[in-house]
Amino acid sequence: MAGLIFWGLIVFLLVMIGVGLFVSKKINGDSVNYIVAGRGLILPLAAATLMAQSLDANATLGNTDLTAQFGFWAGAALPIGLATCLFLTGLFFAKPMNRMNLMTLPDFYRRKYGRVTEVIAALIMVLSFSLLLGGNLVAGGFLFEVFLGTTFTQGVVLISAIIFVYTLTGGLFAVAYTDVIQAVVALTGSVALIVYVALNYGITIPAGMGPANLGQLTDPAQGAYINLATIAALGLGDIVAIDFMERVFAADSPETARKACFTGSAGTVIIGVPFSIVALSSGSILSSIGVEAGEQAVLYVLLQEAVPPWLAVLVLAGIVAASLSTGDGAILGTSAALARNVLGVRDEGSHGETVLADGSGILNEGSDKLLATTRVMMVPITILGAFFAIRVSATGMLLVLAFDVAFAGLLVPLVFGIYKPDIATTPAALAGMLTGSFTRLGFFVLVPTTYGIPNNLLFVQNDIFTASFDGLPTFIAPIVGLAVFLGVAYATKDSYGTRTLDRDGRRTVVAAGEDED
Amino acid sequence: MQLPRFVRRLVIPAQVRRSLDRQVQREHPTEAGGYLDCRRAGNRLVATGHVPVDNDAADPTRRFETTVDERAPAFPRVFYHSHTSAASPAGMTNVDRKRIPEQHSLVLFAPDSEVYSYRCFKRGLARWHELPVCGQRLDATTYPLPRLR
Repeated sequence: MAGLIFWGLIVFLLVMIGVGLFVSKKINGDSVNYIVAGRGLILPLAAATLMAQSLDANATLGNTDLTAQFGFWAGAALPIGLATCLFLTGLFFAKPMNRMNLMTLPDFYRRKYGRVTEVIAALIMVLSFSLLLGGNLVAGGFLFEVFLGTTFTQGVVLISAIIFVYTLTGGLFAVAYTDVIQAVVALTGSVALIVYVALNYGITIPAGMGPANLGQLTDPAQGAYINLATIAALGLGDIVAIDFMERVFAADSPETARKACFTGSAGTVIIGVPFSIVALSSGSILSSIGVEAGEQAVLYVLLQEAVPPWLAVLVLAGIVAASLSTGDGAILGTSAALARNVLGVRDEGSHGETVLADGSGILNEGSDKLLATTRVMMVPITILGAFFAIRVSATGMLLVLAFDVAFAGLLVPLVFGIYKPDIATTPAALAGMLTGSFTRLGFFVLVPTTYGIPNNLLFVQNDIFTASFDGLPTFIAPIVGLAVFLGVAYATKDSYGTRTLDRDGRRTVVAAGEDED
Repeated sequence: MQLPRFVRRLVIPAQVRRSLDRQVQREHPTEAGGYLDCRRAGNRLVATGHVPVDNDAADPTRRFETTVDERAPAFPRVFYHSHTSAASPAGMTNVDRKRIPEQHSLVLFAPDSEVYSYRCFKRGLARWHELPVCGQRLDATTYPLPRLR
């Protein structure tokens, strides 16, 4: 069995690299091809890449561990939150954002609010996605350690190198085409797993742990705050995720972008929730075959002990696929945001500066400057992600904190910028972003646990906030950001004015010698 | 290390000013507009040229409308437009303050085609602030341009 799993994973990884390298010829030295796939993703590609991007190691491995330990809603909150995000994005944001011809999400903040807002938004996004990358590399490292026989560090370096190679060469084209394979593998593995378990062991739901126990969503003693916060942080907070929006920008039309979000949302539930159901049955399955999970991830034990090798390979490939697809999107999205929105490289027409006079060098002749800089930025981003994975023990806690900070600071300016642009001033956006984000950081320092994980990094002892407060900061911080945004917006909308965008996302100038408007 | 300095003044050399004035006169009574292409010189913005932009407003004698697209020069730049009615203020109107999405805005007051006043404004943290506008002679000395309240 070990040999089949080993070679099955090796073949899968080689296919990913091969596909990535093969489609890299589509880049043609153009950053628009590289970052948003030439804005030409048709519906199947756009939907598959959104689905694959939303499912990561958290939504599969993390999901099963949380479900087995705390019940259905603790684990299923992850895929359900991600699916909610894609659904809301499809409903409210995909069409207008696709129409604006943006390349990265911070571009919106620049057009609507200006350069300072753009840089702050980009830095928050880069930090949160570096941690997301680190979290997925951790999962890949453990998986390689268990099933390929590497050390954890070797596993992290190996999976980092694989993602780096095909993302560096093929950009979003490579990401999208490999995502299709990854989505199909993950879908097949997930469905096959639940069918196999149902037919051979039966679905057993321990009392009080199943989806019908809504106490997990209403009773704080059963973790309701944390479960609801997970759904809210992912469902609302991920709307400002650079990787999702990059795919929305890459769709070939606003209608395709919207449909892809809806399809991706459904796919996320179809792939993710079966893992929760299987995890509920894991206790009875393992006891029926006389095995204890011990310290190891429940899913890994199930795959090693309770299912045939072909199914284990399929499911493991699905989990690796989830890590790869989220990791590649994180590397590409953060590198592009760093190059374009932090460093300010956006002259798409200029030629690459690192190409030597004879056309040699690491970049092709004709590569534009943004393409070149994005590729260069991938090196530090990948190293940073691997560093987080290997050196920072609290990656999981920092990850949820980073996404909470993004939720608290970035969502309100995006929503008002699109749907209430006449009051969305730059001072309001800046004030809302900073107060929302710092409020969340303040709670991090004051509350002893973050999503159930003890805060051993930076906790200020106090008698006001106890562990029972955990989960609430996810809601409070964005509300504080919203209140400050509205206050400053109404105070400045007449004296400062707003940047108005037309239907295509271009800023409009209206000046008038006379005041009647 | 040198700290970044805020822009305190706009300088318009004589030849750029003449070219601006000609555009305003040519398009009168339509409101004329465009961008001053600038360079930083310490705490001053010095205009190096100007890029006229067509007025897309339905009522071009009372409004100036356009979109910010590839015609706009790189930063630093100053958006300018003319007020062509005697009833108009020489400074910014409420519409100007609310709907000009630029860091710097120059208002040219030209009620009978001749430019009588040059007033430049800069977006602050919460509101617009006025900056002095100077002309520049060939010997590089500067002098204040006409400013009406």
